[in-house]
Amino acid sequence: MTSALPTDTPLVTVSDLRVHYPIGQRLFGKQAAVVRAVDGVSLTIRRGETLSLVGESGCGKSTTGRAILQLERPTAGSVVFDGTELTTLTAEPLRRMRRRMQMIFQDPYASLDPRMTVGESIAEPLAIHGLAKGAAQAARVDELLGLVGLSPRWAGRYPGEFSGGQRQRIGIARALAAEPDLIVADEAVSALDVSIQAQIVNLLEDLQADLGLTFLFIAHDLAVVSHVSDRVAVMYLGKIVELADGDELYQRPLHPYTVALLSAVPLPDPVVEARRQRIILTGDLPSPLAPPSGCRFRTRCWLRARLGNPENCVTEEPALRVVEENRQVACHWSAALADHVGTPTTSGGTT
Amino acid sequence: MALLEVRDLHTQFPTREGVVRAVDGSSFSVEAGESLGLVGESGSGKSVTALSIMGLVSKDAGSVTGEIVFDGRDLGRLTSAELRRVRGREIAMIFQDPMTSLNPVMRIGRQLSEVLAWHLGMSRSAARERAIELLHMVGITDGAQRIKQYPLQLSGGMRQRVMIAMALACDPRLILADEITTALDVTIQAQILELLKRLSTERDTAFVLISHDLGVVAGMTERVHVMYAGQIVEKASTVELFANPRMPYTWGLLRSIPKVGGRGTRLVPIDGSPPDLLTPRRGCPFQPRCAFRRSICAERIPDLLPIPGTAAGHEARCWGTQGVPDGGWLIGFRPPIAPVQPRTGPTTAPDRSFEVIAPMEAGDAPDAASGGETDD
Repeated sequence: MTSALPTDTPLVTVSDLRVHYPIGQRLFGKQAAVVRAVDGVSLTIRRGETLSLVGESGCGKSTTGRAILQLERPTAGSVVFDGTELTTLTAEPLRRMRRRMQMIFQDPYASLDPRMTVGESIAEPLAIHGLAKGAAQAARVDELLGLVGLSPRWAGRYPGEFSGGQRQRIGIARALAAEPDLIVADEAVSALDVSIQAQIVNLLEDLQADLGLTFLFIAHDLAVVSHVSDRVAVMYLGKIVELADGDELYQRPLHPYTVALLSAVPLPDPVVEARRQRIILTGDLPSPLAPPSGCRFRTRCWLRARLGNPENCVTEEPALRVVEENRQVACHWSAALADHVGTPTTSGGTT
Repeated sequence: MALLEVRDLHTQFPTREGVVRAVDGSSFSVEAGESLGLVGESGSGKSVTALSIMGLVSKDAGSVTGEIVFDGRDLGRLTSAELRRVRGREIAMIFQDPMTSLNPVMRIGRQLSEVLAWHLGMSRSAARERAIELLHMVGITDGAQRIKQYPLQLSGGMRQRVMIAMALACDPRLILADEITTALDVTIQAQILELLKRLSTERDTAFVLISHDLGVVAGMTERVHVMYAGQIVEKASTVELFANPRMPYTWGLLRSIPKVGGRGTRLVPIDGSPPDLLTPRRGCPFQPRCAFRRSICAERIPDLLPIPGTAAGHEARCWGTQGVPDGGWLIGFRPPIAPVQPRTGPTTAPDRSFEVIAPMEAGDAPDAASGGETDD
């Protein structure tokens, strides 16, 4: 988001993170099937930046966010937060660490306790982390409500009395209570109407600028992601397929999946829409129980089809490699992509 | 004569707290073969409009008044048996969530055959054959296997295809599509929208596309009606609405949408909260959130009227656009709405190894895309 100063010092370093869920029973020592929800994710989140994870449902973006916060314990891999390895922390030091990492959830209806007043909900993290008591606590609650644009007079009300956008503000106030460094926002604006969504996006941007927050923003809406992100990681079936500066990614995607994803976004402009050519992926996401061999995207890959179905997409898993400064892509054929995508369509705008 | 003519539709739900006026005096029409978009935020009355047309608002829950004339017949005067013959056969509805609109304990094939047997009197085996054909039409090629499956065994996109197949089963003249892609991922959404567009063009089926997503409506429809608080507040052709929006609420909507490539720009939200449909209103329902309001706005509700100096068929419910005493201060005013940013996309004509939505005839100059002056 805008005016915070992203630095190159990583706040979070994630290496080869894996979250696997065994399903079914192990019968007579037979290995159960395993859902590979997150299957080898490595990334860094720089202090003060907004890094977004995008992808379709089931790509593992939410699980990645939860595993970074240790809300899901990773099956393998490492998460280093400001110098501390989180995956090996025991409950108590982890609890203390959690003060610095907070989460905003998608559903402001489900994530607040309906029987607690808004003030109590916001005060809860203050009490848990021993940050404020008594009058100081009440004053801090008022301050937090003000920070998210709500009246301190509403502290005594219950969540049911608020609209969706207001509840999301309450969720944000609660996340801010513990003065975190990192906020993981999981589809935090997805359920909101567009006029309210814009209010919350602006609020998050302001808070980042004022408080120097680092955001991990998880969303499926590429327009929102484009608006808020410094860098974007595109996920497909548990892996990152492309990671780049937001503007670069949107201007010049280097992975065929990113190209398809961008081309599928409907644009609010009938003239542009009428002239657009879409790459429509056929079929659905393959099951994460049995991901395709080699490149996981190959079964739906339009570029592979155009290149005459090269064999290495089946036999060899493409690594996420650095192709340019600040750009990583996991595709054997990304160099060939430019020939098939051409220059950006310029229409409908002035730039 | 229009295929569907809705006149002064009111749908109200009495509740303990008072009467909720979900649809509050809407009038619109749909021509044969036409595509109309109904856009608005939650609670604007889009879905209830569709349910009212379909006669799906239960008498115990609410009251529907006004005229709904379909192909010359006033649906409100039909007996329930007559209405059942229209519903599904001549007007079909596709809902947002295919999981709740499909019967979870009935095989796909049987659900499709049921429609065919009921409306067209097909025999069991004929209906089975036709069901497979319909699935093929919506891009499900292994129909013979799929008809034996239950909804839970299909993915979300696949279920929505089944819903479309069911809606098309009797070759209806009008489809009401209520947020049909809202629950789907963007790549699957593109598949489903392309399908609806192609099939409706092939069969000259009219559709009303209900969506909160202005992008979806922009690419799919010929005309758009914007709804707010149960009323239509602006009507125009799709190209006109996006190029030359006239009603402050529409401006607000357009300015609120984050744009791909919009990093570093600031969104302009609409202040305040969506309207409370319980509160008896005086004046324009949008006026408490409107940056352009004047005193008349709080006093009287404006009618939906043509706007002086705009294309035929462009109407707004706004005192600012109406040539009346105390009104008209927004006639000719061009609000600052940033143009949609261009985006990266393939320009080469793709081959046939994957499906592509062919561009429609590009009749307009690219310059027409930017709506008025820019603010940045």
